[in-house]
Amino acid sequence: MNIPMPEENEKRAAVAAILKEGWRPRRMLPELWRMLRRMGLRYMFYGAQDVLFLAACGVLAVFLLLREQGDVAYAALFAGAPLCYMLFCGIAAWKERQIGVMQWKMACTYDLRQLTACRMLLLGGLGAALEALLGLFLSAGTGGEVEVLRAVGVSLCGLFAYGWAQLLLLRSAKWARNGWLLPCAWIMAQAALLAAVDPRRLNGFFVQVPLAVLGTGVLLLLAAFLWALRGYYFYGNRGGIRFAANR
Amino acid sequence: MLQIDNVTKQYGKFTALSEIDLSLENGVYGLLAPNGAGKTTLLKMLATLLFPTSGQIRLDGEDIFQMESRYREKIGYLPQEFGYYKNNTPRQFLRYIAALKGIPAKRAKLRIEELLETVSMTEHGDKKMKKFSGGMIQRIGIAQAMLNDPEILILDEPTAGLDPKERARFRNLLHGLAENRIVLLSTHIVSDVETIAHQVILLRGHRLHACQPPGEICRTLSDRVFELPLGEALPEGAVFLSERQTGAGAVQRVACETAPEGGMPVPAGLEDVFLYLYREEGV
Repeated sequence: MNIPMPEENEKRAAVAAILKEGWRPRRMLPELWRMLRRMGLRYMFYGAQDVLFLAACGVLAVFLLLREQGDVAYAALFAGAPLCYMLFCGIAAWKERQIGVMQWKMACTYDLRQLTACRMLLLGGLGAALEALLGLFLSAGTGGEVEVLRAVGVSLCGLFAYGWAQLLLLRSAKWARNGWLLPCAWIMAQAALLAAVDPRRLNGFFVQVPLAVLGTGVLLLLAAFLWALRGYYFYGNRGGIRFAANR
Repeated sequence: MLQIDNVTKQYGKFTALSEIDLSLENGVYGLLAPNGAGKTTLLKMLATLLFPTSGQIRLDGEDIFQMESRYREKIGYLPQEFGYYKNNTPRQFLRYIAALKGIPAKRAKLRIEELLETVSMTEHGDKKMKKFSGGMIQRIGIAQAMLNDPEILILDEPTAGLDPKERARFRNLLHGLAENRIVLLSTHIVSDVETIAHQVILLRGHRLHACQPPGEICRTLSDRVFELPLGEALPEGAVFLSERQTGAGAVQRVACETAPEGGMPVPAGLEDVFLYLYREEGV
């Protein structure tokens, strides 16, 4: 059997590619930063400005509900922290599927996986900023009953825990195709927890956790989120359609 | 050169494509097969939307999936169902896609104007796309695929839903775009490719059946295609291909080994070969 050997130019190209990729390890954050600078923030959420607005309205609704509920605020913040992220991811992905833009987006230089990774980072940051604001307003609104740092810590724990879980699911083509599963599972889990345990008792648990422990939890979950994001960014989803758009 | 080496794609137990081997160089390749034959699957793999179950696809010796964004920089892709933002104008829409393709803003602006001119859409550049016809949307689709001046242009059924005039316009457009690049165009409409394709790729039974110039493919049925008046009984073994209207009335084209009574031999066309080859697949 004749095995066709590569031609000289093919060999050179392959060696050059290996050297280029092999000598310099790829770094996710610098790559995402370069992409963001090249594309611009304006195009990062292009076509989804209405979805961002809806998600922000959802967060505002949560604040208005919690304003009068200082004694269950922490429990509600943990459960509802990923709301903005969840709403954006779910509605944006649904919208893009309805319009039918995903296929050509997947073939662009900056593909959907890279865009999603960047969006997740930005949404995580936006979510964190919103949680901080929410914590401030709640503290002011409840006359100091809700501590700002504790509120921010609890909500960041919820946000990063959700983000981490979502990224782990995205590693599997089967689970990635059913983007509605995690939001439903999260909501059901929180509802079950709140039904099983008195929300005030759950709230009390969050009140008793020392701030240092809470802070460590935030940092660990943030690290887990970034680690999972890196795995998603570099290894994608082999064997199936490499769609992302926050699924 | 784009090399497709023994590529197979399976979805569970269903085999969409089996052991496809192709070498593609600059030129227009018409991927011709009936619906469900695997054309879109092959094109999606070339556009990196799908991974092969086995086999490899290489560009100048490098695996395209390992190349990642370096490969996607070199391709332009127009999917079968081309979605767009209805409230965008073509200029807004193309600026966004240019950003996704990493094209700097100044260069993108010039390129967009060039492409709008090429696809005859300059005067509609600031109108909302929700008002456009199917043909106009497809032209914007071609323009977005060409934004990065790709080495490989992948068009999945680009003429689906277009009227004959738009399809003719599209063929003329492709003539101009096909220089110095690989153009891969899938269709089940023979007339889309018979005059513009340098090579026609036929898929059959989810496998590669042929990759040859149209003339050579037509020669597979040479001296075996006949026309006789519509309604005449066909001899045993003859395969009905199509019917058409002539000045003398309706005639039927058939393929058979020997000339039927009253039959006039005619040169075999690409459509004859297509209909003959896929006759068992309900075409």
